[in-house]
Amino acid sequence: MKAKVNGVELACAIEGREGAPWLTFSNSLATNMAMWDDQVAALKDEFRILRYDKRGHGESGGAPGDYPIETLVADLIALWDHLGIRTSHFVGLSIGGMTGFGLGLDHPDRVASLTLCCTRADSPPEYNAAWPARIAVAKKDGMAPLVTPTLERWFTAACRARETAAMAKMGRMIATTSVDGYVGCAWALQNLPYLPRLSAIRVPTLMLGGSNDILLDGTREAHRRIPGSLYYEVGPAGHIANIEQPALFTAGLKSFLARQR
Amino acid sequence: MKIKTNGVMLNAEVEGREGAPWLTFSNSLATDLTMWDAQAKALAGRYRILRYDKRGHGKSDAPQGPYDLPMLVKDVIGLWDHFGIKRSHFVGLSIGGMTALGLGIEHADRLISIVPCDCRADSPAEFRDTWPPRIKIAEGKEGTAGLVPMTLERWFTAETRKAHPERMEYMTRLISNTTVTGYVGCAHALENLPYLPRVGEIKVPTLFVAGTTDVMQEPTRDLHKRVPGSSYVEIGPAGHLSNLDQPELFTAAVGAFLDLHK
Repeated sequence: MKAKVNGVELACAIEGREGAPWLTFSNSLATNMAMWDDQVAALKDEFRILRYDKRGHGESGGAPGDYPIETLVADLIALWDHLGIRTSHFVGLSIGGMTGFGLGLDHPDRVASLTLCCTRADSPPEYNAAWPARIAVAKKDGMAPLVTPTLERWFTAACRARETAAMAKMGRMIATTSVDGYVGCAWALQNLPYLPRLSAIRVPTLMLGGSNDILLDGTREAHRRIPGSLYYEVGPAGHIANIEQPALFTAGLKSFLARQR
Repeated sequence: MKIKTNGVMLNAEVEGREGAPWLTFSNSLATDLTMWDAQAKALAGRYRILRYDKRGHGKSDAPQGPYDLPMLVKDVIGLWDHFGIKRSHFVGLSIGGMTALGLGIEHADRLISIVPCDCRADSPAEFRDTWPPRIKIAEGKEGTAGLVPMTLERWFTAETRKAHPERMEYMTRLISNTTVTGYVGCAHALENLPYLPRVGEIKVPTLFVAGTTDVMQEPTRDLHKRVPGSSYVEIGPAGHLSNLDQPELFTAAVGAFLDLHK
């Protein structure tokens, strides 16, 4: 379904057990809500699940321009308001995880727990250096030329060789992301504001990392800074750890969510 | 129950669903089979579970040492032969994990999978040199009770020691109850870990598990990189006894891995 909120039309889907606690999934850059298919299948008997396509991604709209991370946080709050969701567990990966930092810091009353995966809370120069070239490619030739290098960055070589169906699915997600959405979210990634404030997060938090992810150190650092947070790392797994290690990933997530009841 | 095998009387317990795949748990130094209580309880519905006290530990006999890893591996094979266990999953922590590596290298045909936790496969000088002072304390007038403060400090973070006095009491009891002969015998095994050059030969499904703040976290991650096709899970905050510090996450990861390799 589509919901017009915070000045943008967001695609979202609701499934799972009616009346159960809400659990919201937030996708990474250049993917969409389909990245969570395995986790939703494993958790839909215990939770009422909301998935949505981040602005500029999947079936959601998204105008050209810079998307600050605070806008992405406001999108979800508006979506929760629109759907009458008072509080929800939240699972986000990469930019979805960054959105979770903002939720935990600025909307703790709306969040039952945070599971933040393969993510980081700041944008040091060495991290930002990679974006201008990718943005230039997207603006000039669209998303298609980014598919192969992105899959190579996201998954270990063994996974790419073994999981051909998953790679095709992920490749389609990358290729069908709008250039405006990719570029807009890339701006958010280059301007992440949350690191100095992480120690103020008070909601139950699980930081979840992939052993081969370039954001592993950022994920671990967030665990160290967030008081009382738990840490769970799966490997071998690159950036999209829930696709590369679905069984281990889902087991850790499910265990964490179970202890929040 | 007591089983005489490989020249030693070992204490073992069998529980869980009859006819289900076998799952064996192996304890760490200065602990006993009760360290796996949470995991055995959680997995008993899906597995037939064998737990045992390593020689010199718990209610097992403590023959004169030194022990070595091949001997501890043979103890497991002896137990499996006694119970008619052809193949089993094997979960071991620290010296139990090292035993898992030996089984993986030498007895792949007896294994469904191995889960070595918080362990290492070699004894470089900086690791080997930690043992003589500990052996000296154990052989002194206090016995293994004299090892309690330094061991708790090594195994648990300051926060954990403060937040979980009941866990510290339990560990104090386990360490103090370990026989000096058993502790020293196993310490000699730890001074001479032989498997690092051969871990690349391991072909059985393998999951390595480590605690974030364990001194063996780096060696465990390194083993994951050396064992082709192995998986890795790290959980935290957790020290050396990661299954006690984070029982839910530990059990979830191990259970998910075992279920993949039925």
